[in-house]
Amino acid sequence: MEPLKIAIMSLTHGHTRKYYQVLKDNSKLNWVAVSASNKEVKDVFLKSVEGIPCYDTEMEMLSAHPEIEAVVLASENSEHLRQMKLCAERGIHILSMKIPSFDMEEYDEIIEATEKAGIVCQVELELHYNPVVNRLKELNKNGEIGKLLSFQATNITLSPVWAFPWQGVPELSYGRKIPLRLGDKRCRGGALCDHPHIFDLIREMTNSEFDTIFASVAPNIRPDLKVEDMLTVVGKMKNGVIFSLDPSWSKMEERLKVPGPGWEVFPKRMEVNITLNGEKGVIMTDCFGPNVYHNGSPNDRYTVQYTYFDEWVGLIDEFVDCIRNKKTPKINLRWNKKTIEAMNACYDSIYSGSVVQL
Amino acid sequence: MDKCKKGLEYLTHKYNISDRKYTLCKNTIKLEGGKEVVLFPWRSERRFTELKNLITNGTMGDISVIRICNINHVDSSFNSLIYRELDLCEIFGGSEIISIFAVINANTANIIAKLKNDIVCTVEVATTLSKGADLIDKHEIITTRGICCDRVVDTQIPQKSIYVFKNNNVPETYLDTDFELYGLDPNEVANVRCAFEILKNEKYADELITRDKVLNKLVEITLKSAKTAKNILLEDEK
Repeated sequence: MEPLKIAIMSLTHGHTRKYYQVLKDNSKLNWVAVSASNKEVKDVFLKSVEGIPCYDTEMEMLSAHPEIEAVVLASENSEHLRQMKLCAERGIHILSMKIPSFDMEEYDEIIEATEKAGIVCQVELELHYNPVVNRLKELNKNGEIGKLLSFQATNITLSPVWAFPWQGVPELSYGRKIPLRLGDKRCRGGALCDHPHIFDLIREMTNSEFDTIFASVAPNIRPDLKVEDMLTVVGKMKNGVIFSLDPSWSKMEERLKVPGPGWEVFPKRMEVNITLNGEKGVIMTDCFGPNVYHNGSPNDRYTVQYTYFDEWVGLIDEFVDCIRNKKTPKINLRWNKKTIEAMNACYDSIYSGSVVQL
Repeated sequence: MDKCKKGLEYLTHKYNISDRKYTLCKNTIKLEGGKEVVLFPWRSERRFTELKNLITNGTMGDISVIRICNINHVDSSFNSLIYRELDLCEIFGGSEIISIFAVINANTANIIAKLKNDIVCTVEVATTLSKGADLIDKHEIITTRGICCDRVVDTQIPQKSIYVFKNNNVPETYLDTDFELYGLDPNEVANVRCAFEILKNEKYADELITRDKVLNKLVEITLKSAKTAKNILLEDEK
């Protein structure tokens, strides 16, 4: 099979660096180029990767490399529609970051553009390629704990805004400036926008869709942010399974410009823990553990050194397989739309103070 | 074993080295031309890779002590445990063992191994766990800048990713560490990864063949130390 000629566009997304190794290692790929949205991300890239040409604009890159077949669209959410249309016009397949758009009209435009062009557009929800999540889904599917009654999950991290500032800018993250509540100085676009995974996983694991959602935003633990950093969500799926989801930025961080050692203040910077209660038992899952631990440099703080990070390997394998064998990705735009709708419902619930019926 | 063979086939195919001829056995891999290489699966365990990285990338300071504990099943090979943990001492310490003192009682051993760079290693091994019990081990490296360890603070036994509580009091547990080799347990994953490294890199195969001889000698010296109650200097054994 001819290696897929792939590029990265923008380099501004926090997940960009996760792709470096896999794009180099995977023999099914030929990493052709990258384009950088600004000088800062370009400098970071050039310090991290050798031998891959880095262009200042995406047009410059596409002109220089008409052979590009696919891109990892590693940009802020507000750029996605424009860039996806650009790719669709050129028949370039897209691996989208986790939020294609929060604007549902825009979202439909993206679906239309990509489907009309006949390209693959896979949404990067990498937890589907985590071996622990795989096992959890299997146990649940096999009915190990009987009929599922409730689903509790955390998707909690540090706040990435100091390294990836667009994630703290409502217009770039959420796409528009909408206050969280009347009179609230904060706007949509914070922690919730960063954490779609548990909203997605619950749909697959319950084989059901969201029915009711009630969300509550708490005072920020980073009062200087213009977006929410702490919130909690409870509700019910259409099949009766109840849920509690925590998509907060509750792990405090050092305000580093470039992620690296010493980022964490709390020892574990990212956690996805899922508890399933069923009629015959309980399953408790730590999707990112166990690991190894240290209290060394640079801050001498007790720190989790993540040990098993496989997600990007399986994710890219699926992307290539879908392109080469004309398959639809598991996390495609149409599937993902209901996840985004549920996240919007959380914001609507926060705004109104009421339960939202989907 | 079939799962391991399939896993290795998958990797060799995916990473374009499927032309290599080999036979994967339980603890060795036989290569084309007759070379048989003992697998060092622990060297392919990512927790050990991460610990070694923390030492070499400057996160930790200079090592003072390496403390290792390994309690395995009653039917497992006692000497193999010593072999494995002495290898890890030298890997973490970045230096070779120059002396060994050991005490052994039945299938338990406590060992002090000293490295050439002055690091002191304590190795406590036993094959006393009942069959089927979860294996217990811990690797703790104490340095001038802190400690790194493969076990989390405030725990005595290894943690798992998933606990399933059903009808009995003992939870079923799962530890899945490798998406490409999903379905293999961590030991099987390590075996396959090690075999894959050998197939990728002929020099690594030769390195392991040499290493096997060194470690067999170290195990022999450990047993001799326990028997004679003497701290044995390796240079006296040459």
